[in-house]
Amino acid sequence: MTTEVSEPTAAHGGTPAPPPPRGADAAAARLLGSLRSSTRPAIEQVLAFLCFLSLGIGVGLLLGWATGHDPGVILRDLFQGSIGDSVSIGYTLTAAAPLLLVAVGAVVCMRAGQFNIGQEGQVTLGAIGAGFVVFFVDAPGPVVIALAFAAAAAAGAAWALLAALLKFGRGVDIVVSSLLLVFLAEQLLTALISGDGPLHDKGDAGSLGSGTASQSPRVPEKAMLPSIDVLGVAVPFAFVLALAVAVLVAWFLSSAHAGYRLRILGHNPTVAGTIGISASRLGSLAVAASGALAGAAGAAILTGQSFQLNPGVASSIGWNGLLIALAARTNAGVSVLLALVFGAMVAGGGLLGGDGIPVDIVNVITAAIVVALLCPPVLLAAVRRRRLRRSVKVA
Amino acid sequence: MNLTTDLETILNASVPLTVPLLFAGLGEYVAQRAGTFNLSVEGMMLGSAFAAAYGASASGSPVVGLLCGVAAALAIAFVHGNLSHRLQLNTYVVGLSLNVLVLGVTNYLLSTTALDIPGGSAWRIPLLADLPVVGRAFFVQPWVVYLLLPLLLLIWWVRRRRVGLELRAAGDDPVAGDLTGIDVNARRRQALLFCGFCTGIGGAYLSVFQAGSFTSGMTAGRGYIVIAAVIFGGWMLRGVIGACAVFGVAQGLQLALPAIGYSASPQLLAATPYLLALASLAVLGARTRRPLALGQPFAPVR
Repeated sequence: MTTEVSEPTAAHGGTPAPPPPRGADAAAARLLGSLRSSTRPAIEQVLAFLCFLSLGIGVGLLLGWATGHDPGVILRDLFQGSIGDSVSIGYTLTAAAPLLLVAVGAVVCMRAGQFNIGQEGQVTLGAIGAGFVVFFVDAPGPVVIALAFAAAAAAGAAWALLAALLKFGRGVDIVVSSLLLVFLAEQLLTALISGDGPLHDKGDAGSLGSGTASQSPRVPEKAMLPSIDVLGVAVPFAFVLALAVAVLVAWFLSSAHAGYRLRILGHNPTVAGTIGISASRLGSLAVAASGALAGAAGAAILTGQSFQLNPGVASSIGWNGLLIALAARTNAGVSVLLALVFGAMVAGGGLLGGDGIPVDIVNVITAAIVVALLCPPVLLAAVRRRRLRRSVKVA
Repeated sequence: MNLTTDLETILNASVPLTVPLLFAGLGEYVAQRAGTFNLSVEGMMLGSAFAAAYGASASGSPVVGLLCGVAAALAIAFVHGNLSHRLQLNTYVVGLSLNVLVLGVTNYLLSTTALDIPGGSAWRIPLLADLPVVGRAFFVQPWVVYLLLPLLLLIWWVRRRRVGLELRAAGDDPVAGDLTGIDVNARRRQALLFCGFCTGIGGAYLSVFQAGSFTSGMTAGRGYIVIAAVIFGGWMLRGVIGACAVFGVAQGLQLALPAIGYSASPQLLAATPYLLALASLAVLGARTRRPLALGQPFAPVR
């Protein structure tokens, strides 16, 4: 691992520093600084990544073993179901696409120092927006899909902007407001798809639970996402989109002028203010962008995976995408890798049921991976602090 | 339909739903006053609900179940405390990943075990139970419910003692606290453990004493409702208790209103906690009395 882990905070510096900024968001910004500076594309970084990745998978296997399942079978199923053949690879990419969209969005707002954790709600809003287009707009397939993604992005961005508005207008921590908005979004979705809601399945389709259950009709055939054939693998359109967005964001953050201003804002709001960057404008833009991408993920889920709105349509993809971005230390490239790993776990989980192993072990593995990936920099920092303290004592 | 029976129906539905919120709310209040924005309260509650159900089912005794539940929540609090207040890992990230982890683990274990939870009987407080309207709702409950009283007294008593001041110092101004010799991170870990203890009782109540079963993800966001309650309660003890009561009644109304012949949007009622919390934040803005260092990690430099 690298040597430079956490930038010195105000408390560490010897020179008289301004009082440390207060509030939950300031704390979050400091965390992001420390995460960022530990990202170095060195070989040891890659090794550590793989090491902690397997540690996370190991925890899941251990749980499986402790409850009487063969870890070998679990591992085989996970591999077979995710990268075993071209169909499995297609599943992996399908599952990875919304995760990647959410994660890349989270990278943008985290880099701008805006700790938006409401992606789950923004995904839900995106699914709602896409639902309105898919079920009500009568147009050729590609037009419907394009409109659905646009509506989803707009809805997600609007939901995220609510949180930004509360922050820059009223001084409410964005962590808190975006979190609360997640649960409002859930109830909004349930209200829309049940009873008298406009998206409720009225029951003429004859599918399971139609008319009574809280769910929407099924997405019409023409609005289902197409896939592109690459070397025999059906690459879903959503994944192509997500990958393109990831590349674009990586370039934007590293090379574009606006991306540089964004990073300044995230790194040091005081400096940003001095050189004339408007925190409220740029910050809101970053939050809206992250919301738009999370919303697009909602459209990808509706038109590419679930094909139906139900109360749990976001199915933790927002939370997992956020965790991917944080575990990837707000790096777009690493996010792609991690989203693929998560997608592979979800796709591989499909085979586990056949062997009598509960699919939920996949969630254990992914959460363990996140915790494992977050630990190395802080472990190093803790060791360094202890060493520092000891050297001070000796002197 | 007369007013008394309607009121009684509402109370009977609301009180059991308020109890777990109150247990977790008291814990979350202490954790937040000590400076941890504890998101893992949802995971603590879910974990303790499962562990309590498992323990009660394996031993046949609700008491063992309660102890197991509290132990599980304490374990989650211990992990959270050490990751975020020893290793300085960001508390939001830890909380969210712990929630996902606990949800996965409980779902996984649920599908590999069969639960048979012994039924507990309600305590009937003599005389008080015969009161009209409030009698059955407040004074005929499983004994666990009455643990709220000693917990409440403990918190109320501790608030004015040295420990209480130190806990609040850890949440309001860790630097000054550190300079006066308080081990800020230790205090925060202790507050989290206390939160785990309270939430553990709440989780055990939920599965063993109230529902008599454990279902996948049975806390259904109660942990987040509790967070909303602490926010809506303005980080004050009486505010938090009041907010928990309001949110509990909002949940109870979802069940009670159809029973007494009214109809209301269940989604609107379910959204009440979050709407109220957001509204209070939006109205008060930066003037909320939140602990000043809420959610900030603290690294001593000695």
